Amino acid sequence: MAPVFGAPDKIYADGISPHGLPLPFGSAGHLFGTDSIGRDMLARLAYGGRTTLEFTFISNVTSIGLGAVVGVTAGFLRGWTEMVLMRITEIFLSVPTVISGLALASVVGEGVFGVIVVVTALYWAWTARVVFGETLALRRRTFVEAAVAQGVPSTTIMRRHIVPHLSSLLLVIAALNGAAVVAIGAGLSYLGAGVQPPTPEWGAMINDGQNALQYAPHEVVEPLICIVLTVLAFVLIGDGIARRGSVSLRRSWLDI
Amino acid sequence: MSTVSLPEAPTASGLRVQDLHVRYGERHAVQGVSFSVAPGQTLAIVGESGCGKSSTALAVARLLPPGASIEGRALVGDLDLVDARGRTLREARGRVVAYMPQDAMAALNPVQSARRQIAEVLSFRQGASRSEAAAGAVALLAEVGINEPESVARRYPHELSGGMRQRVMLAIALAARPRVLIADEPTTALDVTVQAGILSLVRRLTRADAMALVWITHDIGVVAEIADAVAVMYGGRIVEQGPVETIFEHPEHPYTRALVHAPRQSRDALPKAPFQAIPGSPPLGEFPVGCPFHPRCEHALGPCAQTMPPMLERGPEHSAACHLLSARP
Amino acid sequence: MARYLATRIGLGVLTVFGVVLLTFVLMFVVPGDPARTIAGPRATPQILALVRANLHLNQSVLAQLGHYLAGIVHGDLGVSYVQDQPVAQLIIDRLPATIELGLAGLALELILGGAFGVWDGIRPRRSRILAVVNVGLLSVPAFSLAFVLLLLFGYKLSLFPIDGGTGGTRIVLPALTLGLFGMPYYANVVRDAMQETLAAPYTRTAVAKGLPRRAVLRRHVLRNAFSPALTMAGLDFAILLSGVVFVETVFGWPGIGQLQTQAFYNVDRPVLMGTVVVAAVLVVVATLAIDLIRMAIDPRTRLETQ
Repeated sequence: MAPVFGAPDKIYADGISPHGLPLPFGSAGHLFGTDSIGRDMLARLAYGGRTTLEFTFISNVTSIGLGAVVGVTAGFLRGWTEMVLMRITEIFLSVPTVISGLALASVVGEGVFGVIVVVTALYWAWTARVVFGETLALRRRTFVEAAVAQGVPSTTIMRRHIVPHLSSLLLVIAALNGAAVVAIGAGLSYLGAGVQPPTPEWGAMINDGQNALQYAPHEVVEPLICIVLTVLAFVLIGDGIARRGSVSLRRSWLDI
Repeated sequence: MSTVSLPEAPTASGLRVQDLHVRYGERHAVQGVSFSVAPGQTLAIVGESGCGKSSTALAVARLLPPGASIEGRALVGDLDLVDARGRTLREARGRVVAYMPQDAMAALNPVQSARRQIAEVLSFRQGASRSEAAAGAVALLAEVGINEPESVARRYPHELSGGMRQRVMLAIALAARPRVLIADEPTTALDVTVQAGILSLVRRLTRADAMALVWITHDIGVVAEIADAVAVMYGGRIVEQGPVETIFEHPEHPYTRALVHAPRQSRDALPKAPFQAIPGSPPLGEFPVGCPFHPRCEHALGPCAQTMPPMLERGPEHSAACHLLSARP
Repeated sequence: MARYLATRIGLGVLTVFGVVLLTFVLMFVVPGDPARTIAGPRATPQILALVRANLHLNQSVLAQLGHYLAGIVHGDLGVSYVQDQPVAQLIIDRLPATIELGLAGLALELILGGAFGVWDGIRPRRSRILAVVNVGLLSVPAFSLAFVLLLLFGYKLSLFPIDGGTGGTRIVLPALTLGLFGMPYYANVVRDAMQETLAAPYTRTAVAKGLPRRAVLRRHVLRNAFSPALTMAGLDFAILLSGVVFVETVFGWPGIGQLQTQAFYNVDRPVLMGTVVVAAVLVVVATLAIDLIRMAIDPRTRLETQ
């Protein structure tokens, strides 16, 4: 769909005003304006969306997959496995993602692939912690205990009895993790440690535009709105799934 | 510190409940209950879970959950607890009517010491100073039979035994010297010796202070130990009430008879099932048309399934509601 | 209690050690020759060898790790490749600014989140406004929020200086960013805790005592409802620090976040690594501190220590 919006890297001769300024939002021919070197903002935003969806989708699958495997294994096998896996999880959770993200990015390199590696390495632990707790609860349920008592192999129990019961939780995690990944991907790119110019990406576009904040705020505002709307979509989906079927009943003893 | 004068309950006034109804939306949990308790006397309300005894207790204590509605009257002196609103109701709480719940662990604030939870009644309701309230709390703990009140006062609920927690609840309930104490199965979760100790303690304290005591229980054995009078509830109504000896020696309602004559179970084995001897189970949710007990009654006749039998005088202060009784002289 | 503390501190040390180990392995596999970065492209082989020896780069991985760990124990995180200064010194210079901003942000998110949570928790119905504000704020990543505030209050309204640096009212916008960023999470937690507390039997007991409404709220409901918020503050301290890095960059706040960003541009490995280690220590210490505060106000948690 992105090609409809034109070429993101093309520098338009008419993209810069006679005074040397980028075209503002609503200009003829460049509806969303142009950036400081005369590229069409709409085309860059559209391609930036594609980039965002790419790294979000892939790193969401990889980080949640890894986290779920660790969480289920630790929660089901308990004992030493749990000790080791959950301590490692704890280690990953105890470094602020951006700080370790910058260190990690300097090693694995930048670009979409770098973002995917960094995000996977940093976000699996959140899923692992949540899934671990849920698995512990499931493990005490009768159907799991019965299967254990019958001597069903652990891997079979995890696959057949634990994972299916985690599906709705994993859906919520996918949505909320997705929101976080969009944000951190854009954030790293904004810091220069993610997707690199000239590849269009919203966070990197904000970085490009922040020096023009005074006279061309649209260069920052437009990608900002794109990021917010995308995160909002993920948050609303997660909220919707989480709230499905749960009716909150309020009772307050102050009202008697 | 109170500036509003409420219709002060006379020191010895007792409790008179008239035609009390409790509804939770569509569900009519208590359907016209009347009883009275004289000062210093104890009425035991006995029945199975779902019979409306706890709703009755909460209604009189004005502690029904939001959304429940009450009708009727619950008089202490000139004050109608059912009618009380706002400031009047707040002033009446603790001072006119106090409530002891079943689960003391949940009813005590987990993050506050016993002393603080008792003392705040004294400081807010009696205008006691900080040090007076603290000393008063310790004195109350001693009054409810706690051996080392100073040390127990400093403890948090999770550091107390079940019996001690219930004694702390009692100290809270008694702190503002109420005229009526509603005890909603406060000893159910305790073991037998602890239970006996608390029973006699509550009995002694309420009698000494001329308090009217309403003791809710499902345990007919407890009734024998504590009550002056008994009200037997079934299906949201009182089906029989009278002096305790009369109820035990001459029960008239088939349900009361079954209760009284049911072999006592070992309470350790079946702490919550003293009604095992009566076949069937009490109605939950919708009560049947006619006498609520008729589906389980071995003597049920035609009219039992159609109309609710009226309350019939059976002797001095003794009445029962059963069609069989109007058929016989 | 002492034993519990010892265990907690032990686990904290273990966590930091794990972070050091992981970071070290990561940094070691990086391709490229730091000695050449430092010595410059025209350095002679002799100089290169000298630099390598100074950095212990000519030794085995294990020996290098040993050197690094021994250094950490003595507060030595190595020397910056780019700035000719000890990493520890660079970080210590920047740390107060970060801690100041972090604490201001933490206080603001607790206050804002607590206020909204309490307000919404007391109402008979869930507030639409808060729900919208919540979802709205959840959707704005920290650095985007920073830009929104920068545009609104810095450029459009010119209420606060936006020239970078610390001092005066310069902390308002960065701290507000962090506070608004964390607010919805705390508002949710406090709201749920409020509802749970309001429906708890002990609140009924407080009402049955005939206490005034305000006293019931203040003495029984609020205190109990804030405990979960503190638990969350402990768990999420790392997230707060992440936010600090972005906010520092946007507002030009000279803290360790900025240091880390510069180190990234310069491929300054010792600084990158040292910052990660210090951040881990900060998180471990903060988590422990918050836990201790929670134990002081909520005696139930003291049970865990036995």
